[in-house]
Amino acid sequence: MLASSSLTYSYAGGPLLSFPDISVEPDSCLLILGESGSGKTTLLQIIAGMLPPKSGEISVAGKSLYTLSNAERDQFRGRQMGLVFQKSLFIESLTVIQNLQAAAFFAGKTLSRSEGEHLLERLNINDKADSLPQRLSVGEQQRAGIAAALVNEPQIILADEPTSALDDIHAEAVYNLLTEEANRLQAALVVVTHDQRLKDKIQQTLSL
Amino acid sequence: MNLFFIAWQNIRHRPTSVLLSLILFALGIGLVSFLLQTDRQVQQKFENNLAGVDLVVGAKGSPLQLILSNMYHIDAPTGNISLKSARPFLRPGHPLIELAVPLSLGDSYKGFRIVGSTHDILTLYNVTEIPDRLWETDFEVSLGRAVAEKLNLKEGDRFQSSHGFTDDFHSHDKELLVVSILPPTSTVLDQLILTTPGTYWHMHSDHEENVVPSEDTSDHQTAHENRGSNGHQHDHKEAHETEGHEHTHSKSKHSSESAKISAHNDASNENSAEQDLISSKAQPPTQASVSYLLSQSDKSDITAMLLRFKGRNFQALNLGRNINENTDLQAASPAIEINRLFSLLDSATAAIKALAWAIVFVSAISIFLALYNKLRTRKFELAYMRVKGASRKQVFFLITIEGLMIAFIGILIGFGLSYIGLFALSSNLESNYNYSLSTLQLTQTELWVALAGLGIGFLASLIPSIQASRTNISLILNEGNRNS
Repeated sequence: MLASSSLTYSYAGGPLLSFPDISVEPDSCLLILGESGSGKTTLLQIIAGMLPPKSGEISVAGKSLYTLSNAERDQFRGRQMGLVFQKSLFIESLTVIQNLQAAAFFAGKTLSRSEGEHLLERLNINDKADSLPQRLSVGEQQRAGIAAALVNEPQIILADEPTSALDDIHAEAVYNLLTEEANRLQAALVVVTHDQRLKDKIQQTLSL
Repeated sequence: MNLFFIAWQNIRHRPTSVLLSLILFALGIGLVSFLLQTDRQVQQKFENNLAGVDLVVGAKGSPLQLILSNMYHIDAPTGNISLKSARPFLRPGHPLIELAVPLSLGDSYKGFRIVGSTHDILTLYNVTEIPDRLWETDFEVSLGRAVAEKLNLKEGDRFQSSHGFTDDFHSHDKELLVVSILPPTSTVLDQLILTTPGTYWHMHSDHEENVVPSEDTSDHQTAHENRGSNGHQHDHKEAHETEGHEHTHSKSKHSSESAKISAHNDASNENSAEQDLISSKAQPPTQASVSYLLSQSDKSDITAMLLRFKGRNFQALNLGRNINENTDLQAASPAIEINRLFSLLDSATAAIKALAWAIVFVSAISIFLALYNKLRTRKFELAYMRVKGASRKQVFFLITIEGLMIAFIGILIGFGLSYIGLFALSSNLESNYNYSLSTLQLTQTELWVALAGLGIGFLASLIPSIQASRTNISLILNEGNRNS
């Protein structure tokens, strides 16, 4: 599902970062552990098709990511990848369900209201469907963010520090949610974090 | 879900951030539209009312005033002229003049001006469907369509006119009788009350003794025979009797002599002249005819004459100058005076128009700043869109659409303001001058204004749009992580 070989990247004036090769199968999970500055977010962005690597090859679902045109790669990301961030992103002026519909729209799909409500129901924030995202609690925002990542039924879920800001109970809940959903979609799950609490839960671990 | 919806939600979400831009834009567009509308409509009004008049001849004074008072009925007359001095122009058969229409001004009824004239005035303003009955004898009036509608007057109604152009002055005792309503002409004629020149003399003879028409039985007989109308003389006599005028013998003697001559002179020309003017109707000559007017005393007053030339040859064009140089009359060309007026107005409207576009320009900068400043707070949502698969193009268009939407709303509000302005101006003109403007006319010019507005909105959003489309999502995401 996801495979990379000899990826490198360097920020302007920074040292050359080289990343170990990655390979993730569908319905499996990879934990990428690393401290701040280790380049784990950089790796995630390269995988997500948002940051062209200096060298190396990455393919997702059989597609070599950086041979696609920019617009094609944007579409590919929208359709095949679900991204979850520590701090969820939203369009402020749209309600939660409208944000889900926008996520579908930008991936070239449509999402009916009932489909959106169904998804929110599964994440247990159905009652917030018509709220603006900034009125939600941090935990609710996180779940709404996950919902937005799942809208297009991606083949790969990329999560950047999804649990770092949460207490043990919420961290556990979010982790469970991610694995359940990845399992339901038969998607590959890649979690990038410095959160050691997840270390015991995920077998396949890569340290940077 | 589409870009328009998102753009619209974005504007609605933070209306205050675009409010100033919107107000400025609406003001600018509104002012431009208002100026274009009034400019066009006023010019249309003035041009409609040119009525093929080549020269206006009246008392000395300001030529513009002469034109405004006698052709547009919006200024005080320059004064009166004696029939003696007017006679050469009114007399049929003038080599240069095709049509000469005498006007007597000075009275009004509820703000509508009463004009003493001959039936020729209908020819001048192209009235095609002439009512069966027109003002024939003194104290009979035909109403312009707007007068009849505004004052709710109909045939058979009577009213007392008042001296001057406002109702402040005293009323005349003698009542005027409405004999017909004229069809609409979209000219100033619609705002006028038409009567005979003689009506004026009767009205004002109380104050000014010397304007009384000739009163001599034999003279009347002559004039009468020539015209072959019995009832007509009766009316005339009656009118004078009721007025109870007394004339000194010496005064009327002199004037009756000249009146006799002119009546004879005109008798031969009369039939053909009258038929030319209102050819469709074979009607008996009346007190509203040139020939009758010419039969009156030299000292009778009229206010002015509207002249239409037979052709615009050198002699005709010189006629005005000759009149101004060699007589105590004043001649003015409506086309020249109105052009002069417009050129005065043009520089004023040009200045305001420039100001209006300056406001639009400032508002464009304000739209630019609003969109540009919003980018900083919006980078996370731009990142969201890109993460969800939006291309740079889509991000570009989103911001552009927002700019265009602000411009579009501004244009709509601007046209609304322009509409309100026109309405206010129209009511004002109507109450002061009985002129009205039509409401907002959406013509090609308005389309161009709207397109120009949208173009400016587009230019204003261009740089923010480019900036947004170049957003480096990776940097924003890193920043987002660092912040937390």
